[in-house]
Amino acid sequence: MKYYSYFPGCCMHDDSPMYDTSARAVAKVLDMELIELDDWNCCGSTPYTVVDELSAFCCCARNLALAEKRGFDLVAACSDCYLILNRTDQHFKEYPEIKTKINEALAAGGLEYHGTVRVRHILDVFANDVSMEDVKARVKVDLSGLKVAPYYGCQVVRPTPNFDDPENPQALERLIESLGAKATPYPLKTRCCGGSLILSEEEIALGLMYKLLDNATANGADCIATVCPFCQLNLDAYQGMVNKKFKANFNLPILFFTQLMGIAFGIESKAVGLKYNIVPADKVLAGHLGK
Amino acid sequence: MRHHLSTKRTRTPILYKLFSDTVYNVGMIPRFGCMSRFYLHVNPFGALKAAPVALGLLRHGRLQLKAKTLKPQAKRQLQTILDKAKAFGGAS
Repeated sequence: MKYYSYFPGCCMHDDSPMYDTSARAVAKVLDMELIELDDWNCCGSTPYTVVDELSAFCCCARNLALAEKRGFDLVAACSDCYLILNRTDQHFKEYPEIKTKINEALAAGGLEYHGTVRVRHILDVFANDVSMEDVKARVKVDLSGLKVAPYYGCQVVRPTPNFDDPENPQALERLIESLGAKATPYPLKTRCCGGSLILSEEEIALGLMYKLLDNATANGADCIATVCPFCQLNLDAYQGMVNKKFKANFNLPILFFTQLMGIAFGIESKAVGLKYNIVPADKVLAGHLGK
Repeated sequence: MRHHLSTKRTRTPILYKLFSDTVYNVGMIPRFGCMSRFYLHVNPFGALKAAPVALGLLRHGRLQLKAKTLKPQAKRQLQTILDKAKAFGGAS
């Protein structure tokens, strides 16, 4: 059994519960345990960094300090949380002045950070801490013929090089193929979905979503598998608005990659949580689940 | 925003300020609360346009009306840390 500290992030408790439950269930099947960090707080996301960078670093550093006490790698499922936690850790290590300020602020709250936590994304853990042969060995449901567009979004492999190629990552494709499904070509797989700009710059965000949905459809995808709660929410919940604005007719289920893994592993439907997906995936999956 | 370069042509700075204030006050980000405050702040009628999306999320159990918050002790600790960070006046 491998142990990890788990940082769910706000989305998991709010709008993406199925990412949380499916990730935990898949981890169990892969002999991993995700131990939720006690009393974690919001990572601050991109907005806090823009408003007050040092406060944003300190917001994250509190989580890093809590994780350091436990000693395991800190795993985030949300790409934004992963990016911000990682960025804080990098700045802490690279800039002595920032390190001093962060630790003085943490000291006010009775904490300290030494920079020993390894921040990881759950895609990295599921794709690299277990062999693809081990993944294949756990597949119980035949997904052959299911065409899946692998969508990374813009935050998980950029801006700093990490566990995969920043321009043409392959971890998700390897996982999808190991599950027995087919990863379709998806040239826009690392493009932005608009994120929270859907609230403040709706026209721009809807345009980005249209391109993503159109590109996946043009490449023959039956569904999209993503690693990011913002991407999932935008492409799923706003698909109707995209259709209306661009006079399109998309009906593309947007799954978290952990939901797809859960389906392939035969995990109970409650943990997979397809009922939370707004564009229903039942029709696309029915042919495969019925085999 | 940190360098006062934002323009009034975009409402994103308002969203970001609401977001960071919520992180300070609650310790977490409740989507429903954030969306509502943003629309009330910039354009209450804009909320009507977003209503089908909000209803879709609500119908699928993805919009929590009651926000999850940090335990009082953890929230106090976070706010103490953030107050100290703010007193430094910036990262550099």
